[in-house]
Amino acid sequence: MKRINKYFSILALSSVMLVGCEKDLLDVPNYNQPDFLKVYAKGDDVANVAGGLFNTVYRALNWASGVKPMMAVAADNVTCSHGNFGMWHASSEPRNLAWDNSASYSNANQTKNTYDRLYSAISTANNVIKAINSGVEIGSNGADNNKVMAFAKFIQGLSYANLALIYDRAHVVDEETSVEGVLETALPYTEVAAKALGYYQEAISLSGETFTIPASWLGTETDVSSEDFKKLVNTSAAQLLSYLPRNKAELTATDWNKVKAFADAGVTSDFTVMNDGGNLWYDEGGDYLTYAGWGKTDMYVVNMLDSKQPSHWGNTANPGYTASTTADDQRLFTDFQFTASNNFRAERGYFNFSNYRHSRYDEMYVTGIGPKPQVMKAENDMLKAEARIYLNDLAGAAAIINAGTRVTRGKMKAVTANKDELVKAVHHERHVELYVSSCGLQFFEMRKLDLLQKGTFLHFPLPAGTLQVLQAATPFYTFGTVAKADGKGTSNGGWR
Amino acid sequence: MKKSLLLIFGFLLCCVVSFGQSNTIKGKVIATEDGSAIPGVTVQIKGTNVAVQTDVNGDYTISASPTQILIFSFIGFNSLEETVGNRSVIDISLSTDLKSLDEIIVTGVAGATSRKKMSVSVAKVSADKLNIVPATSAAGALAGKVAGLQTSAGGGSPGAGADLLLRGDNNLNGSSAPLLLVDGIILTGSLADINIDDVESIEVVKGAAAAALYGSRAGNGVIAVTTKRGASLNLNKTDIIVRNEIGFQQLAKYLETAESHLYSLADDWQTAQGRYTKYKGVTYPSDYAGSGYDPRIVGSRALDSDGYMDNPFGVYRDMQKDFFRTGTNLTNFISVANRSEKGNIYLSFENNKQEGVVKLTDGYKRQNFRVNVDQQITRWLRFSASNSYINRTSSTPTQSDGLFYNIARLEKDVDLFALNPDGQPYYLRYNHFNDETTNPLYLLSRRKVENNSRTWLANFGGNVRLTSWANVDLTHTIENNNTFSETIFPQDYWTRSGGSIENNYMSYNNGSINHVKTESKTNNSQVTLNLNHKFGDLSTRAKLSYLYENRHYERNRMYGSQFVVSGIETFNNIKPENLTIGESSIEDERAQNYFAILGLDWKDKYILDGMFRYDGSSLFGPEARWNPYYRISGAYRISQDVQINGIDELKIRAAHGTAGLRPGFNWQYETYSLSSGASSASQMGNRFLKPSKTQETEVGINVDFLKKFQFEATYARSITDDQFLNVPLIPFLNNGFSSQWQNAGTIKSSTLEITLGANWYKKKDFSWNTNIVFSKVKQKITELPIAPYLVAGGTQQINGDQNLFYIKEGEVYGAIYGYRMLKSLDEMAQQLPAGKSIGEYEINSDGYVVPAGSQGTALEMPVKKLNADGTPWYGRIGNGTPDFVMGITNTLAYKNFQFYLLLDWKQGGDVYNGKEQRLAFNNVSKRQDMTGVPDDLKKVAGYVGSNSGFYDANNGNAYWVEDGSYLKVREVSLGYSIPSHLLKGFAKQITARVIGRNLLTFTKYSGYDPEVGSLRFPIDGIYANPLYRNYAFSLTLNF
Repeated sequence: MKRINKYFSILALSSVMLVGCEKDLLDVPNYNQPDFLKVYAKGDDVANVAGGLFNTVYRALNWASGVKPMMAVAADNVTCSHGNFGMWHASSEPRNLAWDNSASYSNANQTKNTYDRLYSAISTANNVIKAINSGVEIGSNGADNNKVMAFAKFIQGLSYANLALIYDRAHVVDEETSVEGVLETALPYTEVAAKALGYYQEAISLSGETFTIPASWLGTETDVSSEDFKKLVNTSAAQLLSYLPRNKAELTATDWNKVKAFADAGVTSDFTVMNDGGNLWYDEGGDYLTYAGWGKTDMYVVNMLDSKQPSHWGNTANPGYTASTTADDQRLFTDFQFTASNNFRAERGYFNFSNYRHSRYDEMYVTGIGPKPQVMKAENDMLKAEARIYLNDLAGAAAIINAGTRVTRGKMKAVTANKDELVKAVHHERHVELYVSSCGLQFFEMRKLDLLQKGTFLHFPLPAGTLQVLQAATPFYTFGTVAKADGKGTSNGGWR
Repeated sequence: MKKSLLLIFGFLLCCVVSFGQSNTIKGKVIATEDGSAIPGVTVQIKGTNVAVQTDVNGDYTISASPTQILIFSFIGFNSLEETVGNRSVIDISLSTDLKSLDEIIVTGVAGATSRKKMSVSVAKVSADKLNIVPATSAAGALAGKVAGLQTSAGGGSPGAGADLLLRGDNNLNGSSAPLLLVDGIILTGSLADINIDDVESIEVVKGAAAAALYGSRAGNGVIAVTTKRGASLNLNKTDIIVRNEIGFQQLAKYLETAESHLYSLADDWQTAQGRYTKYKGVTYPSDYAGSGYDPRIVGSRALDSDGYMDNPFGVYRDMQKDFFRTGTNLTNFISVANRSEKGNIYLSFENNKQEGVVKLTDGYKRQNFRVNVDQQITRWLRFSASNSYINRTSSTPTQSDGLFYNIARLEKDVDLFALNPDGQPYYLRYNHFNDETTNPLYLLSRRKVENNSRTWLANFGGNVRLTSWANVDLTHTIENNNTFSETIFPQDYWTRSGGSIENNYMSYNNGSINHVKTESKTNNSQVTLNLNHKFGDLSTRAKLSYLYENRHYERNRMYGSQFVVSGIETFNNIKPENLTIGESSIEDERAQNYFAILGLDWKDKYILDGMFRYDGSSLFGPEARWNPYYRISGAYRISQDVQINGIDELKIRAAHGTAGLRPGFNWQYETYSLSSGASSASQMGNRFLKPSKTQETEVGINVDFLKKFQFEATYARSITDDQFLNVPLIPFLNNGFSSQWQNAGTIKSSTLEITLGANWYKKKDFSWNTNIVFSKVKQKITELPIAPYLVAGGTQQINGDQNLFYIKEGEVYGAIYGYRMLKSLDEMAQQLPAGKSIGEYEINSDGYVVPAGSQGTALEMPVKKLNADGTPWYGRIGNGTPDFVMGITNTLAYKNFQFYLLLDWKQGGDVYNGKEQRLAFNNVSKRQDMTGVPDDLKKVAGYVGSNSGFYDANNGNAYWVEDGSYLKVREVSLGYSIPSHLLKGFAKQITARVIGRNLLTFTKYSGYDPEVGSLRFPIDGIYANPLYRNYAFSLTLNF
């Protein structure tokens, strides 16, 4: 009997312990992250994926751990002596530091993050388009297919456009084409731009139909109509063509008729993103470029605002620059704040010093919550005006500029229909009104006018981390330094 | 030790029934060496199961007939047989048996095995070595005590765990931490929460061969903790231990930073001396508070023309002294144990409090509750339970706060205690002229951080005796862990944005609240058939076992900002649009494991052991779901056959086996990351992902000689392949996926371990023994089928640590890569710039090549080594792997005094001083300080601190590699036990101890402490925290 009890006990205990041992016991699903089949299972899923695309690009361009801070300081729009985000390296004078394109460089991720996020958006957009092409219906009977397709094409365009603007080359793949994973298959930026333009044009043509883009897709306060969306795509296309030139020669070769056509169909009010405190929508780059104790306004811009101020800080700590009491541009008193002393380290160079900082978005940046213009109407106005300048419609250009923020906010005197004056006026608005708005804007502006200081990189090489995977030759190629100033990859001009 | 042996013996021996006519025999058993009573000696009537044990005074009583023989046996002593005869009193004196002064090992073997019969490497650290200087937790208890074990405390924060590594680091990705077991419970948490006073012993199963029994979890070896039980007590006895410890923690040293600066002082700077540093060209308001940002200050500080950092500050404040404190540690421990005829119980409670050295923080508090019971229910059924409940609260700053660097980088005149515009202490903008960072004390004073954890560890087991040679163990283990973390910034928390000149352009950020909750439940069930039989001279032991593992984990996070009503810090006080983060995740993990082990022992001299294990886990890809492991090992006790003068025991052994490591939860899956509903391609799936595999072969020799010494040497070689590599993919060619976990890559490592124990002297009033452990590890990446890659040792955040560690085929694992500055003119001659001659260069006073005649000027800059093609040379500049590590323990007892000293010696192994490199960038490095330096030796600040200088744009540079060798006084203790005759029955024993931990470090390393960073990546980066010094007073009462 005892023995029976004994074996009964073992059996009972074992069976209790082994409850739950069923077939497929070890097949455990991933509850947290979906796979391709889940993400693209049905129309609503595809729409949802498309809904996250713009945010990916937005983060690529505006997060501090990307290229935005470096481009702003290299353009002498902003100045900062801190080593963070590669800012000091990109702004040091003379511009004799090449972009350190080694994987060991502690700021290597600044170019890699932007690059990776742009390609993340491209890959997802390609998949969305493939899903639609394979017959997935979004909305009732595929009612939203056109909207999603238009949006995905816009993202392809926006991502490749920024790759063309920021890097010297890129691999172009889309829903139909692919390439071999070696460095040699990358296309030069001009060809990448041409591809981008093609995607933009497809998006514009698809936006002829009426649809509504949910606010969450673009980070806006309210939903965006297809009409407004189309305007945004047009502005984006104009940006690409206008900002692409690496030097004045390429500027001359720009198809300004196309720029004019796109810009004229561009945004008619600010495209504003509602920052959410750092979760999805946060212009973090803009924050560090203006935050007290961090980025200050480069004297190059201070001088634009008040010509009595020097355009470059002298080689001394206290050259006696005082606060402006009058200014050419009244925005000096509304958008900027005088600082009586510098909190930058003198040993990193007096060239970093400035007596003004940008304060226009201070209130928003207290919490990082609230509206922050991303593509301003003023930016589109300048594209319209710029196209007219180079198409020799000087009066038309002057009219646009004089109707805009130069006069309405800056209270500056109207610009005359003189080409040089008009170019200068556009240049002025881009440095002042469009301060820390779209990524790299001032850098592109300085670049095409041969104004980037001699030795400044004109674009970035593909990131070291990517070149490692492509098994490219080491040391990895790069741009920058006075010795390599060729006007193609490294500036041989300079405003100074 | 003795207790655990008794526990095992107690269960193995049947000693209940007595029979026959007999007389009552009484007696006392004492030790020959010192005459002390020996409790727990088994007194058995030969040829029967009748046995009793001596009590705490060494006394026994037994009934036996005159013709019967009594056997007196106790582990560690020579057994003795006495015929009863007509005697009614038999007093016995047992002599020490040095051969059997041995440990019983239970982890990783077929059954409890004495050390001398082990064929694989398992070290055991018993309570006497653990309790003499009780570590603050089990995590730090093993440092310097086990050959082949390396530890690094990483950051010394209260409650922090230690980095533990057995033999080589075999893993390119993932942890190299050993599998942890506490009373058979597989611990997913940390040993940092296990109180050492409860620990009976720790067994350290080194290497894959020894650990093969644990299969796919044991590639890094196993550390098995066994807690105390009542089983080791004498029958019907109660044992109460009360221990109180009060101690103090402090930083062993402050980091020396520059006492001077390179800015021009105002001609009348002394008028402000004692208040602030008055710089040339700067106008201060007459009521300037003397510290921090003031918008009324006009002018900027200017560089002094000579470029030297040799100008004094107007006021000196010792920020490290202001910031760090001597923290108090408190340990209150009580245990009550009792043993009855059929059962025993052990209850304990410990309260542990560690303030830590950082001011304005609450430190770490922990309460441990334990109930261990064993009950013989019937003759064939025994029930055992181990239960532990751990309640932990921690408010310590995290490593990511980078506090130690942020404090060190401050200029000497800043005042962290100045007030904010609204009177809050610790002015946010503490440095007018360098506004990059904010006051670290303000963060600590206003941020409310609380991290709570509650853990229940339980093992419920039944043992059913089937026959004299077979029994079954049924166990169910539970590890439940709940954590809750809360971080609150109050509504009136200052930020450097917005505001007006009146509040120095600062404003309140309106606060935020962040909650993270996790729940982890692990339930493991195991059935084991134990077989134990002797066939003539062949002893056999075997186990057949099935183990089912089931883990469930959940995590939830919520974040919101902008409190609406002041003073209420809840989510209800936040508008919906500002509840910006909501996250949750769930993980389930299941595994089924089968294993069989057979141990053979022929005449106590030939030992053979073989095992096989088959593991299935949900973490493996569906196409690689089941994986086998095995071991074969053998030993030959030569001294059983051959008598050699002076040799008491001689054994050779060899083992070969395999073990593995499991992949992370989501590594096998194709994943899209999800954030606020937006998804993007993340990771390509791998249905073939399997565990990494370590094969290890070890050979060893054990020699006990001259009745004083024990020597053990082991040489082990391991090959770990099928490594987990997170292979980067080109996203645009892989549907957006940027990486995939793949099994590839191989690391080979070899380890030499030596242990030498010496009982120099052992008499009643004086004893002295020494234990030395030594290990030397080599490891190399022999195969890497992907492009070499760099990893950063530290944490890449806003201020990146250097990317230093190069993972490359053919390279040692731990290689530090970077640039190098030239130190010889011969090398310079090889890379002369066009138009330059070697005569234009010279070696400067630091031994570096610089332009001739440039010394002391701004032109004095080092020259970077170049390749033949003119590109910068980039190569190995250091190696983090130590030449060897060694622990030397000495225990001396004189009468009632006991002295214990553990020296921990690490020889070689470089540390990258990234912290100093960043200090140089901020011109606060001691290396730049020219105060008191003779004029002909002065260097400009940029010589070290600029991009052209040794700072080298924050790249890895040989200049910052330092020898990380150290000799540490790891543990020291002086104890005194009050003689029992003075206690007059009040207590059995009272022991008072003065204890020191990490008291002294002898090193050439210039940073806080060479024991820094992780063992894998020894970088003293921005976020690396130093270890603390600790001294304490402990009083133990045993009732």
